[in-house]
Amino acid sequence: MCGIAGILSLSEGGRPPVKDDLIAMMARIGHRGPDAAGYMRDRHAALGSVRLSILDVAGGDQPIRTEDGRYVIVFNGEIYNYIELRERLIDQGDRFVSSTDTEVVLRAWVKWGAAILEKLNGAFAFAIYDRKNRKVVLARDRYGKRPIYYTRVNGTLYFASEAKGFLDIEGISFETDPAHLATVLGCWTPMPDQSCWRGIEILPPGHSVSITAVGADTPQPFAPLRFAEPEPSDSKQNVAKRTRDAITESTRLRLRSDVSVGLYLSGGLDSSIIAAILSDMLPQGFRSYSVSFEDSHLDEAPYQKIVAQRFGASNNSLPVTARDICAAFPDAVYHAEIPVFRTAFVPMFLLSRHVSDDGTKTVFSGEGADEAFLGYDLFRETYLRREWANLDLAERKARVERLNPYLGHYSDHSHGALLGLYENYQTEKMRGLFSHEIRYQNGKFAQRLLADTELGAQAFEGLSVYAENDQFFAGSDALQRAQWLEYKTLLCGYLLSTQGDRMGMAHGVENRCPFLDPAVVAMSGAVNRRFDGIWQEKAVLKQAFPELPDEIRARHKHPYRAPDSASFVAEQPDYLELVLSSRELARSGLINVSFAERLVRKIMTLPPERISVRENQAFVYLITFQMLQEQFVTRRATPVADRAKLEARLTTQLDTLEAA
Amino acid sequence: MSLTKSIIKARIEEEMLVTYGEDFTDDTNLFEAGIMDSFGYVQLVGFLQDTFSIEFSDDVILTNVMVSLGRMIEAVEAQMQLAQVS
Repeated sequence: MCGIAGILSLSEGGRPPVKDDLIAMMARIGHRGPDAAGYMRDRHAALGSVRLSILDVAGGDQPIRTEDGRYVIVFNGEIYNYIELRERLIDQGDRFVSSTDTEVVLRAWVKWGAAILEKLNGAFAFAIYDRKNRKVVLARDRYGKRPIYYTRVNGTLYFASEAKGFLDIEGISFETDPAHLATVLGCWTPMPDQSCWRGIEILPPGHSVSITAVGADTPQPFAPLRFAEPEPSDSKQNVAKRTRDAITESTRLRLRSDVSVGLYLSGGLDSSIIAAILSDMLPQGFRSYSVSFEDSHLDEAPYQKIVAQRFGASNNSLPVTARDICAAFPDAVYHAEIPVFRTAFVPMFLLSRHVSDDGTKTVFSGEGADEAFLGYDLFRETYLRREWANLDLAERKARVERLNPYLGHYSDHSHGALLGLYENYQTEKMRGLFSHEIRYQNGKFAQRLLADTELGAQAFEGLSVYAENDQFFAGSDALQRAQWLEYKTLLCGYLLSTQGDRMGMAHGVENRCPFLDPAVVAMSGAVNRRFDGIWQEKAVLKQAFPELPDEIRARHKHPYRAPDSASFVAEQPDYLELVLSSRELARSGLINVSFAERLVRKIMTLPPERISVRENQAFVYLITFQMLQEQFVTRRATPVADRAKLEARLTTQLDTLEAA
Repeated sequence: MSLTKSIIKARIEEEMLVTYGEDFTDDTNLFEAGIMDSFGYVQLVGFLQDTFSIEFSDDVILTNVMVSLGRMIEAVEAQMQLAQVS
């Protein structure tokens, strides 16, 4: 795991890349790679890397070049099947100088070109520079685990693992893109090709882009998201075995590391499954890491203890209070880089610091299981709404009773009223977005924060068009569409990025997700719904892993959450002024000040039980947006990048310009 | 404006941070306008039952989905009349 950055001035008469600019970019993303740093520079391009050493710790510094010097790579991430690819390359005559996956990618690219991309099983973003043809290719993994941004200024193209990499480049200003902001407010996340910053592109997951002197091509997909069709003829016993085998194999591949590997243990089903597998593979035991909260509605510590005890994990639990969240909030928002709808990413920022302090660089986590194996209530809700007209009253009530038990307004006394809710949502009103209509109509509330009232509808229309342009989505049923949308929005736009990569890499901790193995995802479609239809949560996983403790098997999914607006109200941090002051609210020109004031007044004056989920969300959006304006736009509170620290760990300097 | 309407209107304005005439009218579908969510709906149904001392049966809830101020007034008044008759 690492961070990468680069400057491309590929045309003949262009200004050569400025070394200081590259160093500034590397310093900005230095947290991603605390172990080493390196760069190469010639007349037309400069590529930099900050390295978190996981494989071939001693011999894997970057950039790596081919012997003839034609191709150069900077690489962020891990390729889990690199050993198999390496063997194939050796069989075909390649000779390696390191045992890194980075060198495998470079040599595979030289040998097989872009065809190699779909064969890479991993979490990655990389840049390969072909010095002969003066061309750079950027590529990003299929689910969006590792990021890469790029932007063009005055004929020069810059790229970096995080948008903040551009903060110190002269000529690059940060302005919120209002259309992207409208999407975030309405849909919880930007679309896969939106960065939230005007003029700054993010390469969508599963895409590559070629950049030459002429400019950047349109990004090309190499791994469209597809799910296998159900296979009703396969025996239940075999379905359970296939599921177990695929996840076990995926975990085995992800144990490839030259440093110790830990586990984020939430107390839910998914990380418990990984714990079960690790206990078989690591008989000496392993370390796990958890957060705990004072609020019993949010805390999962009792379940974490049960799993740790059962599977021999040495669990490190980090208690997180409202005060901790408020104190770490500005730093976590800086790392997130985009407005966020809940505070749950902040404890993950604190946890990765705890993990790093404990000497662990790599952790397993359960991301991707809910999307692949229909874990969210949204999937059951979609199914219920689609079937609503065919169900009698008793069936409707029975199914409503099984939804969202962790939400207060889904408790017993509300089931009558909820019938009315679902009666209203049984037919599609937002084109292509049936499964997500309840979420997105709630998103319209947050969109009222926008001064421009036209932007909200355009955001949903944009998502409809984006989805319908995908051939697989267009031909899918309601549940598959729900899955597809979750992968394309919440998973890559929040769980893997804001709450995942950005919070982990803030402290040089990378996560590995066995449920995001292409073979696991592809297979999930074939095995889902074989046990108890859809109404028993992730029934196929429970069948496949019978050794899970009963307490874990029996509990309903508990979405990982953290204290939201109540934290700020209780702690009154100084930065609350950003949302309490009308002048501050008006500063960006993008916020509907009158609505924002009403929202903030309600949050600040009413007890937490009177504040709805969407009001909490709108408040967290508002305060993160305001904070990002300070950090990235007005630069009144931009953290300082530690350039000296970066220069002190420069181990590789391949500079043909300086040499000349 | 009837008392029933003014009570419900005031509640919507207060709870959902909107202004009658500006953000919604009698006929605005409050779900589709992003004014009411599931939490707000459940709260509001509870409020109507408590405030007007009525109880909505499942059939009534399903027959008249109270998506707008107008539909809420209709539902409340119908239930109150029913209560008077019985």
